[in-house]
Amino acid sequence: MLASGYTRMSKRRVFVLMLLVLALPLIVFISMSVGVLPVSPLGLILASLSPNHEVNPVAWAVIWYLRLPRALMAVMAGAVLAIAGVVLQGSLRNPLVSPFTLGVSSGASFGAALAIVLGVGIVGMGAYLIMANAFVFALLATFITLGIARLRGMTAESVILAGIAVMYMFSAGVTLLQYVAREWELTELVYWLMGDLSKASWHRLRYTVLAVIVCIPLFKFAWDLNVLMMGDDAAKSLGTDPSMTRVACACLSALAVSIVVCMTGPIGFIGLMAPHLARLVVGSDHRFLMPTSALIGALLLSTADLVARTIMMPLELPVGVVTAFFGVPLFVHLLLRTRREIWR
Amino acid sequence: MAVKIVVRDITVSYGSIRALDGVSVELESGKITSIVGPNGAGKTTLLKCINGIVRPSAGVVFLDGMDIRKIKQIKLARRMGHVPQLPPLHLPLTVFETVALGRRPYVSWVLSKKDIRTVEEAMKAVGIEHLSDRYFDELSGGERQKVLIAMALAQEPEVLLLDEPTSNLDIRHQLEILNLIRRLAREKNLTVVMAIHDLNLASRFSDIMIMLKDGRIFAIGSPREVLTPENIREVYGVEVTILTNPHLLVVPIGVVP
Repeated sequence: MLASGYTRMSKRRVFVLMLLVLALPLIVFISMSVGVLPVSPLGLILASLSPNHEVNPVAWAVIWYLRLPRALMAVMAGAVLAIAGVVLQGSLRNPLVSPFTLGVSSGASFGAALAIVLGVGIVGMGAYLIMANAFVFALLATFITLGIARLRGMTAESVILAGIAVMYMFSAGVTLLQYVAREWELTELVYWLMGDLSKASWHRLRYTVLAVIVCIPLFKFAWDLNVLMMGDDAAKSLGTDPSMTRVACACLSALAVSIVVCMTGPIGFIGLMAPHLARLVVGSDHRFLMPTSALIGALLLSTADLVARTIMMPLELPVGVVTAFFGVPLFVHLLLRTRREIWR
Repeated sequence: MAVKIVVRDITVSYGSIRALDGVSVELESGKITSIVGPNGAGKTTLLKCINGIVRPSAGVVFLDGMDIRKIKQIKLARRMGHVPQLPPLHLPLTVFETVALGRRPYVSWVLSKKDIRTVEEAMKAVGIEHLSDRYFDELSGGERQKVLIAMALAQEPEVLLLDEPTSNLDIRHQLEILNLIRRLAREKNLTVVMAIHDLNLASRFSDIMIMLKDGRIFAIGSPREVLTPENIREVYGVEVTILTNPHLLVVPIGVVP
């Protein structure tokens, strides 16, 4: 049987996927147990089971209102960033692309900066003004990018170059706003720009679920992304429309990432790193690569947030710093270790 | 079933350059048609028009009497396979996975038993069974070419379009690939159209030859009719002698000043 190698490989990939799925509740459980207030896992179960929570109400509140939503937020935000990363890398055929290549993060940062420094916004007030502004400007940046790329036939290069141009433009805007900001505004802005999950709540989690739902239709493009590896012309002759695929992937992932980023700020590197790590374990078939990336992204961000919360307890580090400090060496190590060229 | 492609009065412009200028031709199944002509004569563009990759600014391509613009690209992909001129430099897939991309027009998510069987048959047809689990990146040029042909065959096409299938191959692989193409055309009654530079190979392996010059058909017919010293002088600007024993052989003498 010629297909035996393929079948064996598919089985191995499904196995890896299952392992990752099993790891998820584990990391959520650990995240809930560890923190300034130590809670034993057993007490945790009791706490969540007993309706009149006779166990320590403070512990219960910490777990239920702080740690659980935050752990779930890390899982979902990590998955969204990773999925967006993998479909953008695939549809733009470029290993350096991340969800922020379309200008999402710089747009969001500019929107947040406008709200924080000038108090100018579209809707809402306070924290919601920042969030709404970040969301709107993240989408705006994406549409400008795609609008420019459309003039050049929506080729992969045109999308990337337009995205970089838009990114610089909005970053300059952020710099300008930092320059005119007053001291306390600057502090808030800088804190926002670092990106973290401390603002997680059940309420915000609802939006994150929405972001995950937005990502689901992306799976429909798995085969399209596979044939796009052959180049635009070959993809067309195999029945895939390259620019339609690119636009759909860009719009859906930008929408999902905008929802996440407007709440967490720009958490870099997950969206770049998770797809590459996933390629190392399951190869480049997007049917396996997409779910694996999502799970790896979820695990990475959860772990990073766990480290960020605990490594200098009671002080919390911004999670972005942790992904960079611990993620990058691991990433480089894994990339150097592999014999095979994982990227085309 | 006799698949007939009718190309009617096709014109393609890239900016101010006319790549094709009023080309009309009819192609029959079971026959190998070669498109020859100097660089930039429009060979690749003609293939891409037939495949619907390039939309002509004027003119129509018919597949069995149907305007291909009216056929959905995915339906067209079930009837036409296209082997591109430049295979991707890196493709992080195994040979099996690569050939399986040819099933894209049929699958929605999982490769069915039939899909897998078709992929296996396509690999057997071109003789790459032993490469199944190797990575595409590790293959030689000739092996890659075979993988791409297998991929096109996995589409179960009635029409096979090949762009320079023998460029960058040594003479053994050139003969192997062209023998394979001829066998496939006969066995599966495929309509084969290939763009090719090597006039001698083209003459030996094709039933019909189309000679393009500046986006127009300069000559069309059997290789013996098309490959005359006069035509070659006019189209390529090269003085040649034609030998006919045992195969037609074009021997270049020199460049026409």
